[in-house]
Amino acid sequence: MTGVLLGEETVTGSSTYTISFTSIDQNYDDLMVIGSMASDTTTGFGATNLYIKPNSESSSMCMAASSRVQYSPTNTNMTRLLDPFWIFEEMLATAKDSDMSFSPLYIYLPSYASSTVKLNGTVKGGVLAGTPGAASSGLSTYSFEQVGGIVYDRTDAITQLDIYPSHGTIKAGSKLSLYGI
Amino acid sequence: MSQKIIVNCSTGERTVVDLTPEELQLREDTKKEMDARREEEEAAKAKQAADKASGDAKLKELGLTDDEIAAR
Repeated sequence: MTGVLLGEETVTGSSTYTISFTSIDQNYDDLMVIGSMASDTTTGFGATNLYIKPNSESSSMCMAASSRVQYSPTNTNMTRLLDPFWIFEEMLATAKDSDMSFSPLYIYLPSYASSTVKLNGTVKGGVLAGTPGAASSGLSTYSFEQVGGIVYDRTDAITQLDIYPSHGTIKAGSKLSLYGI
Repeated sequence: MSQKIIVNCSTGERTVVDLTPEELQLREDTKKEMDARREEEEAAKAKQAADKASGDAKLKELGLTDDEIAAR
């Protein structure tokens, strides 16, 4: 398996909301995004959600599943949302994570260029936080990996991926690389 | 300004553009949605913990030991 770098970005500023990979080459089998990313938000929980938006979607035809969120009106293994984006809970470190600057990030999308099959994929992220919500566990820190399954309930080939945190802007130093596999 | 970095994979060109008012509003809406979901989840967790504590207390009143309750 040979990966070909299709695009990469290292965020240097402090006001970037989104990294958007456009005009994605359709001549590979799969897409893979790897990198490290965090949000600069200082509010809320010590982690934030990750959004992956394909093809500038604006309609409610996509679904996301997470290892953490398991309720849905139609499928207990899916999030209840049928959002125009893929949403993954607590994938990314934030400025509240005192022991972790960035979360590792991995996204894999097989058959992204197919126009006949619904696309499935996976995403992984992780957070190490120094300020747990409950001290009763006796732990001074906690660490967890988040794994999400993806169902893109369309048959459109993926030509664009927008990636961004739900809260705050993308922390300077975050970097993403997109590969064709 | 709130910006978006666009990486054109076919040309390698990198551009930085300001988010449109519509994109900014969308971001704000999704953030609110996530916050509402989290609050709902936290409330559900709190209720579950309270229900468990209440149930454990009732079982103890019936004579079960802590080990027996934990083993359920």
